[in-house]
Amino acid sequence: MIKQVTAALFAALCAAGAAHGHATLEQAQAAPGKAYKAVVRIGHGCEGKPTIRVRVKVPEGLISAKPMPKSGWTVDKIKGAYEKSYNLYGSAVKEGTTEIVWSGGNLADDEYDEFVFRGTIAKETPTGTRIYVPIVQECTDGAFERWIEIPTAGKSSDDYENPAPFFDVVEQPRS
Amino acid sequence: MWLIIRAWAAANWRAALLLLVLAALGSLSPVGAQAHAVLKSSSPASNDTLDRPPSSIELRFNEAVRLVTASVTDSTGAQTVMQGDTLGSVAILNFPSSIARGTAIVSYRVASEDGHPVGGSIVFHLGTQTATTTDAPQGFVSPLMITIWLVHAGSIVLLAVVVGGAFFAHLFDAGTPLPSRRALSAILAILLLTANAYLQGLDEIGGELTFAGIRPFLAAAQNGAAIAASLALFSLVLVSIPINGRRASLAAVVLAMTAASVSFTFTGHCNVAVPRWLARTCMFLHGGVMIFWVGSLIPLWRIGETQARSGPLLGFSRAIPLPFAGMLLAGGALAWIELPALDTVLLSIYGRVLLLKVLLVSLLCFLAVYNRFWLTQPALAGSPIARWRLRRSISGEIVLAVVIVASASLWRFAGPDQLEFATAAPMLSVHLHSETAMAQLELQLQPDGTSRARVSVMTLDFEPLEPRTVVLRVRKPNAGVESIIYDLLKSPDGAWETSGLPISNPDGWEADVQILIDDFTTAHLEGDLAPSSDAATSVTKRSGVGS
Repeated sequence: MIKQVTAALFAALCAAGAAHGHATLEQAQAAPGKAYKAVVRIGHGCEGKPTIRVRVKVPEGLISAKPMPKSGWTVDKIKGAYEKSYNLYGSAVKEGTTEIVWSGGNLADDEYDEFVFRGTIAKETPTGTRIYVPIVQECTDGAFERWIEIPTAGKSSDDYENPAPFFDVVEQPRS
Repeated sequence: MWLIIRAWAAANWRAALLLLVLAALGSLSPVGAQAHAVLKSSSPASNDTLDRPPSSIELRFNEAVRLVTASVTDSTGAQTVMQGDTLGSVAILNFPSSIARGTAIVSYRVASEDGHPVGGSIVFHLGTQTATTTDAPQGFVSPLMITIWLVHAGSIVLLAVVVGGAFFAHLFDAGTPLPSRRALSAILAILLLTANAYLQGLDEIGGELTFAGIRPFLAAAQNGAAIAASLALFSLVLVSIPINGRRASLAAVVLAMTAASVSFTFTGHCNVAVPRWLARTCMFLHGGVMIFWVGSLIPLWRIGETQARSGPLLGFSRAIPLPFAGMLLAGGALAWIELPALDTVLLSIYGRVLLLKVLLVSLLCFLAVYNRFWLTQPALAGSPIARWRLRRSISGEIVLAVVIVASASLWRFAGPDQLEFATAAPMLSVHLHSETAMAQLELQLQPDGTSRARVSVMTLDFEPLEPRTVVLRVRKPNAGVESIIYDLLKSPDGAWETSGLPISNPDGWEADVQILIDDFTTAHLEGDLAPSSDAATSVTKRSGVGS
């Protein structure tokens, strides 16, 4: 029994280390009121076709989001109203960038790249919250992948074919 | 997540070790490079129709995979494990040869680089896929169906000849045929009845026309067919055993007639017709008079040979008009009960067989009236020509009687419930919802045994929702059927539809309706197709046997 549990435990740890396919976030944790640097990792194209556009939905609770410019790619910031008003350094923030679009580049299926933006986790966010970052990856010939599935109660991201990447809001993030 | 893995591993530590190796392999490759395997194409492709079973199935994925399991579920529901091999991103499965014709579901599970097993199914059809018209509701005519039809019709005719003939002989004191001939027809009738019950059971368990041991009998014993067969056998034995004394033997024959007539009420579509008491009464009368009348034809024909015995002919011609009219009335009433609307008569095989039967019966009535009012008197008076004509006319009646029984036996394959297919009644309707949306999923059984799906999507406040796309996944986990994926098409009335689902009975099936609300928002609406098994079985139950 001990042998079995040990084997399973080891397997589980390795599986966690192996990460998931899909579009993912490098940093898995963030603290309320602190900055979060989101590194979106795109590991493959859509059914073998090169990626030409990456659209990221800035999640609610990640305020004053700013993309990092990326050579070879044009970046568009789509502004909009937040669902709630947040308190940032004493002033109320009601709107900001809600969607970031990198386009104009060409990332082959057998190449890897990262798309970076930064924002602040709203102070009001309770720890233990899991924040999902839906991403649409567009490729040539109209092909696309939507990494937008958010698990319902009782399910995990592993239960879906195209899960949205996520990070957890915790008191002390490990870096 | 690892809690689940631990629980699983406790049951199967070898699987855990396997996962360990896979996970270790996965961790060596560059981070982010892995993805779930996605099926890109297959041959045969989903929804293909093939003339003959393929020797192998080829599944092509977007990346290298390892085959975990594969199985095929055929149209009878039988599941066979498939062996196979993978070569890079291609999996080749050996297709078993013993697969029944009809729709086949090939389910697979493969593990990709990240060790995450992915399941899926492809669906294709063996044999000519039937159009969704009512022209060929059962798909194709199998040797089993023809055999069932012939044996069923034959057993009814012989039952009538033996039991009805004995009744006639006793009623009109017509004398009995040679004991050897009587015994022969009784034995033949018993054999046919037994064969009939066996074939019905064989059909029920979904077998081909081969010997399948005792199982078909056990299956037949589960329903009304067994009661009907026992009553018929009882009546055959009752008229075959020698009973001394006129009263006792008459009582035996009357009891046999009653038992044989009652046997009809346990078979056929009248069992599901409403009101049931009326349908059963009509069936009792209809069957009883039919037995008497068909059974009388052969003795009458034999009597016509000589002038000497005119008593039975006189008696029969006096007695028959009232029961005969009763048989027609009861038959008409049955047709009226079972047929919901006259304008749909020609849409179903049931209606067409009914029309054929009405035509044949009219012809028969014409002959019967001719016999009764034009030939009987002269024949009784001694006219040899009239007697000769009467015999010819009775021969015609015998042929017609056999054809009528045979045509009615066709109802075995197309009962009035077949009209449900023609008149677009929903088979079942399931409500699904998530935290963001709701859907109503309707499945409608098609004549070829597949289903059409219709999905209406709305918000939680019952407001209409305009999703960008709707994807339906159906799977039957306890039968090893992995997700079959359908991209639904929007119909002009706003619902989302697809057809060709290999679902004839919703029990055990699970549905997942995935709607794309906007670019970044999707929702899964999941649920069982048969939330209450009672309701589902009553809707999908196909009516039984006999006519």
